[in-house]
Amino acid sequence: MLSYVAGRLAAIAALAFGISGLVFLMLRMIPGDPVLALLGTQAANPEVVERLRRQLGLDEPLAVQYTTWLGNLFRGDFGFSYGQQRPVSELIAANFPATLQLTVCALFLSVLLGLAIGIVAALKRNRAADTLGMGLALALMSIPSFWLGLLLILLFAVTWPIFDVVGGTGFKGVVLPAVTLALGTVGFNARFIRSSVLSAQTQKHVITARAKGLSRATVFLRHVLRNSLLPILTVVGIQVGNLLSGTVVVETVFSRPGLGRLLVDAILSKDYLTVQAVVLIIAVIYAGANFVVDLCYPLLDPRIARR
Amino acid sequence: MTSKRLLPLLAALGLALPGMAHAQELVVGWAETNDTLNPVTTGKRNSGPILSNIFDTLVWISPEFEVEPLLAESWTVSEDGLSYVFKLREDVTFHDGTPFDAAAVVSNIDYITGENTQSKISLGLLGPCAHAEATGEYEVTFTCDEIYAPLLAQMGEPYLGMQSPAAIEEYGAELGQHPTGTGPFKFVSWTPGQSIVLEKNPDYHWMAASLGHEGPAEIEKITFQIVPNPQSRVQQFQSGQSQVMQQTPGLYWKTLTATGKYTELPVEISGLGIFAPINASLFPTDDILVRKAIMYAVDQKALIQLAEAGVYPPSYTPLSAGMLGHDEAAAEKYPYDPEKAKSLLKEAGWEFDGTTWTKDGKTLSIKITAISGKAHYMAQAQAIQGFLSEIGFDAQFEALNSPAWLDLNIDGGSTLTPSQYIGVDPDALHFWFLPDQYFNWSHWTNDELTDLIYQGRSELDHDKRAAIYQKIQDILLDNAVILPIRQNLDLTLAEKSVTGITWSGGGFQYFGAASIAE
Repeated sequence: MLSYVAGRLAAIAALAFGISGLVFLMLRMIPGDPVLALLGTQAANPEVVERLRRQLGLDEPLAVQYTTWLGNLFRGDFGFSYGQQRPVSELIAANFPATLQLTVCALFLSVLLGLAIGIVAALKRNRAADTLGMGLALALMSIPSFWLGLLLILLFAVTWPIFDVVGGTGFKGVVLPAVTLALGTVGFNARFIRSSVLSAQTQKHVITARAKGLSRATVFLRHVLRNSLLPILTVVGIQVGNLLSGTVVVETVFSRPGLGRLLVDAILSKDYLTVQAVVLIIAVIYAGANFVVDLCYPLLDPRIARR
Repeated sequence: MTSKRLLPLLAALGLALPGMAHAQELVVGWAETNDTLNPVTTGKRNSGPILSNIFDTLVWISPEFEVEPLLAESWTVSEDGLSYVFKLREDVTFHDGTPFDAAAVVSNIDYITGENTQSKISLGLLGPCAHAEATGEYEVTFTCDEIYAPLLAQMGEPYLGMQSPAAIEEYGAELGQHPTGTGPFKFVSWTPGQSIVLEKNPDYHWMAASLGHEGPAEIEKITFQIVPNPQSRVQQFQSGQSQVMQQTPGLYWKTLTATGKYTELPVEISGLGIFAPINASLFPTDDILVRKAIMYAVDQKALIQLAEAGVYPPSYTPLSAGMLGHDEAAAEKYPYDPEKAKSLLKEAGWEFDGTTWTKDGKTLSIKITAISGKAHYMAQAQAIQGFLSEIGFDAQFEALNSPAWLDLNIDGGSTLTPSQYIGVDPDALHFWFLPDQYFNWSHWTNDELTDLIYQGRSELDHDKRAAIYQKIQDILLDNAVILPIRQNLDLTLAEKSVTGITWSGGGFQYFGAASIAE
C-alpha cells in the first residue's frame, strides 16, 4: 500500500513537471505579444513598449525564461502577474477559496439530487416516476448553464430579491451559482446512479439475500447501494476536476471571483505567469482528487484492500 | 412593485441586501476588472475614473477641455515653449498626512521615469517633458526637450494623479494596492475581481472651481462592484442593488431611459471615437478608389441602428466632436451613396457580374476583424460586412482574442477593424498615422501629414493648432485611410436620487460633487 501511494505521488509530480513545460511552450506559440496586450490600445509608444519588455524579462531567450520560472517555482514563488500587478500566489489565494466553496456546494447538491432521482428511478423502473426522473435528468443536462444562471438571477434576485445578483462568497451569494452549477451535472449523476443501482440489483448475492428472507430495505441499503456507490465515486473524482476548472461560465454570469475566471482573463490578456500557475494547480488538483478517490475504494470494498 | 413590498419583510428576516445603500453610500456597477490602482503603472483606460476620485492632478480639465487650476493655482509657459512653471496650492495634504509641495511633484515625476517603474500610459503623457524641478517650496518647473503643446491638457489625465511620496517610498511594487492621493475620496479596500471601496476625505476643500462645490464630498462611501457581465450589471442596477452603472449596453440604454426613471449620463470619451482604420498596404484597399468606395458604402447611422440600437451619435471625422480641431465641415465628405461606391469600383477597373467584382482574375475580397470579447466591436464589424456585401464586396469577418487581434493588425493582415483611441489632445492622431507606430493600422504614411503632425505638436497658438488639425483630418479623409464610425460614450445611468455626478475631460466619472437626495 505504501509503495502504491509513493508511486502515485511520484506520478503526480512527473505529470506536473510535464505540464509546466507544455503550458509554457503552448502559451508562447499562440499569437500575440504580452507587452502590447498589457497596453491594449493605449498610448503604446515604441519606447514605452520596449522598456516594459525589458522590465518584465520578456526579452530573455525562452530557455532562460523557463528555467527562471521553474527555479522560482521550487522556491515557492509563482512570480508577479503582469496584468494584475500582484504576486500570482496572492491572486490564487484570493480566488481559490471562492472556487472551492462553489465546487463543494455544487458537488454536494449534485450528488444528493442525483442520488435521490437516480435511486427513485431505479426502484420504480419503467414506471411513471422513472420516466419523469429520466426526462428531468435529460432536460437538466441539456440546459446551458449561462442561460439557467441568468434565469435564476431574474427570478430570485430581481423579481423576488431573495439573493444577490452579484454573487459574493456569503450565503446569499453562493446559493444561485451553486444551484446553477449543480443542476448541470445532476442529470448525469442521476442517470449514472440509476444504471449503477439497476446492475447491482441483478447481482447473484442480492438475489440470494432476498431469497434468504432479508427485508427489501436491508437488501437495498446493505447490498445494492453499497455496491453501486463504487462506480459513482469514480465519477465524483472526475467531476471535482471538471467542476473546479469548469466554473468559469457560472463565475462570469454571477460576477464571482474564482480560479476559472482568473484563468480565462489571464489567457485573454496573455498574463503568462498567472496562466502557468493556475493550469499547474488545476492539473495537480485533478490528479490529487482522483488519487483520493482511489484511496477511498478500499473503504467501500474491502476486497480491493486485500489485493 | 413587488420588490418594494418584500423589502421590509426581508429586512425583518435579517435578509436585507448588503448591496443596498444607506444615506450617502453609493454602489456603482463597474464593468471591468482593474489591473492596479497605481496611476503610473495602469494600462487600462477604465482605471482612470476610479483613479480620478482618489488622486488629484495639477490641473483639472472640464468636459469642454478648459484647463483649470486644481493642485496648481496658476502656471506660466516660457516664451520658447520649453518650460512650464506651476505655482502649487499650499494647503493640500495627502491622505496619509504627508504635505503636498513641489518636492512631492518632483518625487512623482522621478518615480514615473524611474528605471524600475513599469510606467505605461503615464510616461507617454509626459512626452518630451519628463523632467521636473522644484524651483521653490511650492513652485515646480517642467522642462521639455522640444515644444510639446499637448502637455497642459494631458497633465489633467488621472494617470498623472499625484501620489504621496511617502507611499511611493514605502510600498514599492505593491503601491497599486495602497493608493494614496489628495483626492476627494480615500482608498479603503480592494478585493480583486470583486470590489473597490472608497470613503470620503473629510479634509478635502480644493475641488476644481467649475464644479461649484466647496468642502469635502457629500458621498460618505463608494463601492465599485466589478460586474463584467453586462446583463448582470443591468439586473443589479434594476433591482436596486446598485445606484449607478457604467457601460450600459445600447439596447438596455434604450429601454431603461425610455422609462424616465433614471438620470442619463452619456460620458463623452474623447479622442478618435470609434473608428476603423483602412489598410492601405493590403490588396485591394491599396487602391485609393476601393478605399473611397468603402467610405461611401457604409451608412454610419444605419450601422449604429443595426449594431447598437441606434443610441450613439455617428461620427464622420477622425477627431471626436468637442476636440480641438474637430471639423464639422469635413463630415460632408462621404455621404452614404452605394451607387457612387460602385462607380468608383468601376473606375478602378473592377467588373461586376451581378454577384462578384473581379479584376485581372482576382475577386474584390477583404477581411474585417474584431476583438471577440467585445460585443459592440463584433456587431459593428458585422454591420460593416453587411454594407460592403450589399455592393458586392466579398467581405470576410473574423473575431480574434485581443492579443491575436493586435498582432494581426500590427502585421497588416486585416483590411478593416473597429477600434477606439482615447486622448484629450488631437496629437493622439500621431499614434495612428506616423510611420513606425504600433497603431499605424492604415499602414500608410504621407510626408505632408507627418510634417503637419509634428507642427501640430509644437504649435502653442490655439487657433493655428486647430487649423493644422483640420488640415490633417482633410488629408486623412481625402486619402480614405480611416472610416469614422461613432462617438465614444460611456453610457452611465444613475438613480434619480443621485445627483451631481460629472466627469473630467476625456471621460472620467467623478463623484466629488455628487450627493444622494434623502
